[in-house]
Amino acid sequence: MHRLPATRYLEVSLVLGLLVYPVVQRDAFQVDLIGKLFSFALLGIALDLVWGYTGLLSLGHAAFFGWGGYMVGFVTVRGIWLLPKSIWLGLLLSVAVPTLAAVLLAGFLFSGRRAIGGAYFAISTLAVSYLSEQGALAWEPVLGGFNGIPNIPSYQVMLSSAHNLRLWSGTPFYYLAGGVLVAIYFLLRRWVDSRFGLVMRAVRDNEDRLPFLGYSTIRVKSVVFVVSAAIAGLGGGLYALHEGYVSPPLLGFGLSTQAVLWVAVGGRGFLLGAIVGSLLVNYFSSALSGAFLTLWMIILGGALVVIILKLPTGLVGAVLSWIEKRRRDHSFQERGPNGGEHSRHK
Amino acid sequence: MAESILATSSLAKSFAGFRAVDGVDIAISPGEVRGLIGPNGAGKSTLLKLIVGAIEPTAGRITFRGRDITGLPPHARARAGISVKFQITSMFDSLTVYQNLLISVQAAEGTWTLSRFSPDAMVKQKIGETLERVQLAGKRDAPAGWLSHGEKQWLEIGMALISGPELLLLDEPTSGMSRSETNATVGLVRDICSDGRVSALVIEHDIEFIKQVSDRLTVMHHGRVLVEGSVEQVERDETVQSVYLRRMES
Repeated sequence: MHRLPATRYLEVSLVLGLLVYPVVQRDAFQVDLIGKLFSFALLGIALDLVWGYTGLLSLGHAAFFGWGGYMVGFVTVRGIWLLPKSIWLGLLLSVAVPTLAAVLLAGFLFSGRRAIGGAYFAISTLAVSYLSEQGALAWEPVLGGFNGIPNIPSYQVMLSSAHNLRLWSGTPFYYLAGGVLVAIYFLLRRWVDSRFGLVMRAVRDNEDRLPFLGYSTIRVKSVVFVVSAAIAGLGGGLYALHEGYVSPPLLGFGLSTQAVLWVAVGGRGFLLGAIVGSLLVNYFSSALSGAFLTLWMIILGGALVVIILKLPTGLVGAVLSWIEKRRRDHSFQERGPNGGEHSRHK
Repeated sequence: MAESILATSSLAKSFAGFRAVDGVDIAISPGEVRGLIGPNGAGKSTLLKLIVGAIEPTAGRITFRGRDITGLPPHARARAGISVKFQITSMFDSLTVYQNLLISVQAAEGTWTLSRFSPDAMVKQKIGETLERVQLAGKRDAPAGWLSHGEKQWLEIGMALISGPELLLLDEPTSGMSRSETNATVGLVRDICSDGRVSALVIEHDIEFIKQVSDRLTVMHHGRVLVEGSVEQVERDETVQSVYLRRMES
């Protein structure tokens, strides 16, 4: 009921498109690239959950992504104590550690009678991201400083003596990361459409009213923030396995603000927009940097400014309202002026 | 006197030295509708904000059903059974009327239940009844931001009512309403409190409304309680006439 009917249309086309892409695309490099971008899309969707639904703009979400990545690097290369240097343990911790960090951070940021909001929340998260990057740079013996942690192993899965499956790159990784992304998307879709999702939107609309209806807004915001951090961490963990190394910029506010841009371009508050934005912006920055060695940033930056100014609801928002409008026009023609559906405005 | 549902003792709130509420003792009995009147700046809205926990008192205590709630956060007071409609209507504009009521009725459910399950039949029934009661059944799926001012006031009353509160605090529930809407609001408030299980504290400048709706009146002036009594007693009181009523009616 909360969903624009056109959303389903769009999400099914996107899933089908992503499913057949590796079959149609003969260039293995491109498939591998999109696989990597799926891990960025997890960061984008995590950010959209917090920013798009509860209205809290986090300028430091890359910290969770980077911590996730560093956990994989640390566990598989350095090893923790007696624990095995296992990829799966690394992935588990890439979710668990950002989750725990977010619990502590939420307790710090949201507690107290006058919880911080708006600009102060944004600045605090930005500081967390900045400190994380600086910390990773400084703590060289453990986190490798400027060079980060290279040589993260990507084991091959033996299918037979002649065939190995290289799970962490190429087409296998594409389907693995894509599958994780799609699964998380649909879970989140259900969540934001639930009654709890309604409360999230109420926080965005009018947070000050909620306590007097019996809600602890601290709790609502904390739950969303922690879930978001877990997803961003998983994205970072997958990224690290795909790239084979992690380095301080993954934690920093550069990536944090880029993620904000992806969500804004794709459309905030749709989840789908975050995915589309993350994939498109990153794809084009990669394609343009190949084609125009020096000018690409200017071209991309200009295009993004135009999109954000001309399409305030982002690409997905624009497409959805276009589909809605077309449907309304159709039903208007078929049923006459009073037979149209009761339209919903967002 | 029967055990009061709400009592404040020596309740005070200063803003930078200005004593907005200055030692107020007020006690509301179960099922009572109490009118709270007074000139602008008398401290009525501040008192109401103290009761719901929107602001913290500088001194004094608040007890609700015999329990000290002075230190409780607002959401805990709401769950204990205190509902409020503030002076300025404040709802969730992008959500529909139905969703606004749903938000208001489900606060006691946990995160997991809210994430997992659709509203059960009882919740739906409550929303249906409330929609009828505040005459918004026809606007069920309209965004709350689209409602007229009077309708917004009624939606607010519905939102305050639907959680089944024991104390209803209404700050200017009829401002911006036509005479007939105001009369309907009198009926609604009286109806809500008719079975003796819900008490109300109503702030209103419309003296006709307050006379019709209230069992007793409290008059505030300069942050203090000036007079308290039945509508007739207060009307006859000379101090009240000099500071307030005469000025209102002239």
